Amino acid sequence: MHQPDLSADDQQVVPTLITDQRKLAGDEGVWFFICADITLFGVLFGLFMVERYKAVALFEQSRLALDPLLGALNTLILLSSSWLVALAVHSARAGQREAVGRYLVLSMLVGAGFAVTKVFEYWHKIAAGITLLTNDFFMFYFALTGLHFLHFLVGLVVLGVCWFKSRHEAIDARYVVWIESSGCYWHMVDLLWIVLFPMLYLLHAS
Amino acid sequence: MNEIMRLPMTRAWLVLVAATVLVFTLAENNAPARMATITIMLIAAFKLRLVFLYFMELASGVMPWRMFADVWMLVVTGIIIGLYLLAPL
Repeated sequence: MHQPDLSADDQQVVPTLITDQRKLAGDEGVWFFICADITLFGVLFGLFMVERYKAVALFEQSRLALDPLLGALNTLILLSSSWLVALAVHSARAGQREAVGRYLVLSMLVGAGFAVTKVFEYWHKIAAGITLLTNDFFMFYFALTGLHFLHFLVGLVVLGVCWFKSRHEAIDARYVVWIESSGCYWHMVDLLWIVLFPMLYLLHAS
Repeated sequence: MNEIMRLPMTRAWLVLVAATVLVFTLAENNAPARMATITIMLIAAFKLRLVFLYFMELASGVMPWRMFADVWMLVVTGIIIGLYLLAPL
């Protein structure tokens, strides 16, 4: 089996796509998916707000069972993980294989903190007898955060694939498009949480 | 390290972290609550814009993606703040 030279392209500036005037980071198909996905979430956010409008007292009372500190912590975790992925993309464009690998590992490690906090939060709610069926607020809470969590898990796998490819394949223009696209997906996970956190945890009804 | 600090995504990250801390402080001290809540949603919109522009690199204005991002951000923020304000106290 052919083993690519892992050291030859280190520190080498990647040609063509990276140095020209291409403006969109990542693949257009991935951007279509991102736009469709965030549109779907936008509709779900709207549905949540309509249901909240119909039952403000219930939503307010239920919201108080959530811990804003955990929500804020998860925001900081996802923002930091996103930043590390952006640094990995920057390093890939410069052909810096070691830096790409390092930033991707760090981004996955930091990002994994989101899973720890979220699982703790779910466990805490379920232990207190709060589930998807408790009321409309918690139906939305579990559905929206659950759907977001699935996106998060897919994102972690995608970053893992990026890391694997960075160890076994050339850091070339093709890889850069791959990591840019993966990075944009990961940033989308971040974007959605930036809305979910204040909408679920912080909409004060007085 | 200095090079990393000069990168646009690093500056954006620092502002995003500061904005998150500000949001949490506003939420904890919520006075007056309604005004604080609207401010929190506006800060969230600002954070969305930073992620679109500096993490997803739409700052160069590449169309139609940049326009979609701006419209999505405005519509989502508008719906949340609008229905929040319309809801009975």
